[in-house]
Amino acid sequence: MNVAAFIMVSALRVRSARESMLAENLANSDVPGYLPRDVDFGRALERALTQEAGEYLPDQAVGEARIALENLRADGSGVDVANELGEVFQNSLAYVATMKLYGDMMNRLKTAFS
Amino acid sequence: MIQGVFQIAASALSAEALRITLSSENLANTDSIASPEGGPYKRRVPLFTSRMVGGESSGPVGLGVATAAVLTDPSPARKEYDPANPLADGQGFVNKPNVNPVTEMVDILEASRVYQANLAAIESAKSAILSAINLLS
Repeated sequence: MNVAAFIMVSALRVRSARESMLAENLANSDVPGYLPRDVDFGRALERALTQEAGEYLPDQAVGEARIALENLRADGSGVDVANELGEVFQNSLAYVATMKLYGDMMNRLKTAFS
Repeated sequence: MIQGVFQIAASALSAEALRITLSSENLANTDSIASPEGGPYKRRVPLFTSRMVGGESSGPVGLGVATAAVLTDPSPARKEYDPANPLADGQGFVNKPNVNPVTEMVDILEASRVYQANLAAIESAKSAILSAINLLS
């Protein structure tokens, strides 16, 4: 795989992992004691790019709690629904944009080879 | 993985729907002074917990939400003075349900906001996946 394609596919996998983690936060917004988690996109992508192929799968990116236990709301959960939804939209837009870039690049390659 | 969003958010949709149902029940029974268990109706609230969700073929896809229990609010009944009521006690007081209609209304509003947010997350994952499918043209 060429380098640009490898970077884009890794980015897509990190975005995909982050999207489901953000959905978990939204889904658990009424669970007492739940701490929202997040994937650090930059760090996860860097890990995916610097490690040998197969050693680290970006879609296994592990989330870290975004807030400390003592910052929980009075009703027991630490999720800010509006903020979480904003992150979801931002992340899926970035996913769509990366996918578009990837598709465009593949189309250019197709043109070059034909 | 992004496909997990559907199941994760769907678990939240049913949890929030249950929350709305229970609040509506509470609201409907604000004045029910007799119940099958005896005594006035008692307010019921759901207790949610995190649980792995996923299909049989896909395996666990993520941390969704599930209902751990439906709890009965232990707070005492409201006492209302109404000596004409056949259910009134010796002093003329009637035990009314421990339901505050305003609390229930706020709960319903909040639950429907969370419901909408989860629905929006499904939409957003859907358009992301569609962008991948659209490469096949």
